[in-house]
Amino acid sequence: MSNELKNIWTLEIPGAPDPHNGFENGRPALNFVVGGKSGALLEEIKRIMLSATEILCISSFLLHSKDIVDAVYQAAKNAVRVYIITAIDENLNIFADDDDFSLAKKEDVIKMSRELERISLIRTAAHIHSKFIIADPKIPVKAKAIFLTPNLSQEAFENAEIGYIIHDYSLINDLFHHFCNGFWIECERELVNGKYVPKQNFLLPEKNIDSILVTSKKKTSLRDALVTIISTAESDIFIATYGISDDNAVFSALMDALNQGKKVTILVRLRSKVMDAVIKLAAKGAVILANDNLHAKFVICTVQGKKVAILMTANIEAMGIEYGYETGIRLENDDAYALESIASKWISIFPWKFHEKIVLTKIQQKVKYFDEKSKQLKDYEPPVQKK
Amino acid sequence: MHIQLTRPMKTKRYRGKLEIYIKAEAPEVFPFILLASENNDTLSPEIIKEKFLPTFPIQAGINVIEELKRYGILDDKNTLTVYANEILKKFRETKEEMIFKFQGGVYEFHIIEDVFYSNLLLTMEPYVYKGNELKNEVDCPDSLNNMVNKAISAFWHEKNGLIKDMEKTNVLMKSLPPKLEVLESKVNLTLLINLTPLAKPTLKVQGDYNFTIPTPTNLGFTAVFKELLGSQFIDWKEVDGIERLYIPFDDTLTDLEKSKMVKTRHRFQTNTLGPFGEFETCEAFDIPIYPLTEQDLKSWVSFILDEKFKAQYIDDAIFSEIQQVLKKMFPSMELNFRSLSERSQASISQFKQEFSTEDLLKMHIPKQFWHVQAVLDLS
Repeated sequence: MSNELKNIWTLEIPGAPDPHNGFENGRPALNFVVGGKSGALLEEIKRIMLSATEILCISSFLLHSKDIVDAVYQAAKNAVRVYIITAIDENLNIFADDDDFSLAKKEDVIKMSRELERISLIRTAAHIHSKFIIADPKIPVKAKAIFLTPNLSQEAFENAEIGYIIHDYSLINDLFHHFCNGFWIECERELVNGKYVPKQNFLLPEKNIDSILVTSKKKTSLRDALVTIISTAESDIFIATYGISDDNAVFSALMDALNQGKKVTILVRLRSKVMDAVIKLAAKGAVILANDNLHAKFVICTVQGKKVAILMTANIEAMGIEYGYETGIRLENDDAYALESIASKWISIFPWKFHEKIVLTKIQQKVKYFDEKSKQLKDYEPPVQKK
Repeated sequence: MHIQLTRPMKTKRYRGKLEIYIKAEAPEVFPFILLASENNDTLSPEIIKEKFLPTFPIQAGINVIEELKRYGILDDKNTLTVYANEILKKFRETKEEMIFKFQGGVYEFHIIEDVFYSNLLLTMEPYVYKGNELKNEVDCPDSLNNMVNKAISAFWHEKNGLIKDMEKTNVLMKSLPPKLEVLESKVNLTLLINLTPLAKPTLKVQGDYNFTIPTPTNLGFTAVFKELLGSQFIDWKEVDGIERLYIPFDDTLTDLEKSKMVKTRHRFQTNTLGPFGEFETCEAFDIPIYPLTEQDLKSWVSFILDEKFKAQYIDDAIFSEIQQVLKKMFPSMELNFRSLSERSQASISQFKQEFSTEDLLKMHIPKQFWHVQAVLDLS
């Protein structure tokens, strides 16, 4: 036993990470844009923002990008009404290391919000985690929307992220209703003259949404849909997530699927926080790969002979699956296959692979192990052999 | 000693009743009122002694005032706001009346029901209950007698025939000898408005709001009102009972000051700092405004609407309520408002113009825009 290491990640693909996350031009398919050095994702976001002629709705956990601020100003210059819902305000302290928030200073984010408040209407709540942009939702011929896995932060646009361009107006309309619910019902504070104050007690009735999967104060249709497709998946299940934990129904569904002998492949970002879940899933046979910049979240499987996928903002954690303000889009047919092709590409380039255990003598490459005591991932240093 | 208040009891409507409280330049009575309120309305010489003796000579005059100042109760101007508030609180608690019991006598304050405008003056005289009978004589210690030598008697002076229902003051009439005493007014009671019926509307203004303006006839009052605005009263609650007001729109006032002027007359239900001092909870609201000029009218309506839009998100139902309030404020005028969407379109056009020409970094879209627009857009 002494020559075995448990719960380790091995670097299977050495070298610098792919700056394009597998897609040099950032556009793997008609409706998809992938984050990376190409800048395609940011360009697409700006294109949609600047197409607005009347209304622009923005939802993002984090808003920390000069490009986005500039685009909002540009829209406002055309008398476009800009509405923003976001998580970050003075009161936020519970998500301090969630997502890529750690890369941005809270003070900078708030300063940026205050800049935006002069020309837009901003509401906040700590649980706002959906990311999407809608332009002109009330004009069917002009309406545009992009569903995003990245936050609107400069760093995020280069990560392994996905933007899904929505063309179907009924879907855009439902996404808009989801935004309205977020603005009137989910948000708790409003930025007024630079101060975050409790929102006024003015509620519009909650809109019923069919085509958009959500986690909200009243609904968990995203969770229900995820559990359904995982439990009815025929064989292979692909999952990408930034965070995963064992405290939610989707994790349980995955464990059940593994128990039934289904093949589950999971992509995660290499972080200590995912390790408890990773270890349990790997013990049941899940193949788990990681990189250093994954933030996209999706599930792909085949149900009744059809490829189906859910692209989402929620991590597979209780905060996201069970509660929060999250969004998921159900993809089928070409879009589901396109997402699968992205997943396949990422599987081929994600450099880290998880092993329940590995024999010491077989280690040829860089290794990280999970230190149970400190609950931290650490670099493994082979002991110096005595001559 | 007959104590005559040189200012009237302040009056205001509260829960359908007229409340009285006192801002007197005869503060001698107040130590007892205060003591009474602190001691379950019962005073004994022992309490008085304990509280005030030996430094407190129980007699009227400067010593009492000095003593009150020493206790931090009176300010340098001898104003007794603290006491007024204390009494008011008591009135609210008892609703009907407030009785101070002194050894040997009972002193009463009365709330006069349903008299809500009048030229009024008040005297305070101690009456004494002997058994169940109210006697206009005093059986108190001399020291008390020196200060409040008769039972308390509020009375009303009908000056302009305005009070047609004096019989409604039956609390007073029933319980006190109908000894009405007309006092010379030492305060300018003409602020109480001349209720001459208004003339028919004479002017119709088109535009943002359509309305007709009646010709007010209370110009005399207006002049007095302006004088009052000039701060004759720091604390000016009588206005609450007035049915109609002319309030000139003064552009030199700040928005906050204008707002206070309106708020003091409209729907303030919590402590509100009015233009004339601290107003307490009051349900006197929607007192009509009678502008004299077209410009005043436009300015007031615009200003009040703007304040409403600043304050809250507004949908059609709320806007309809606001319109009703404004119609009450400006009675007999035809006020036709633009719809919210018309208002929104005008604002957007304005922003389009401004945003395309002005430096965007200096712009700040006002809240009143969002309070309409967000409801229209995000629904």
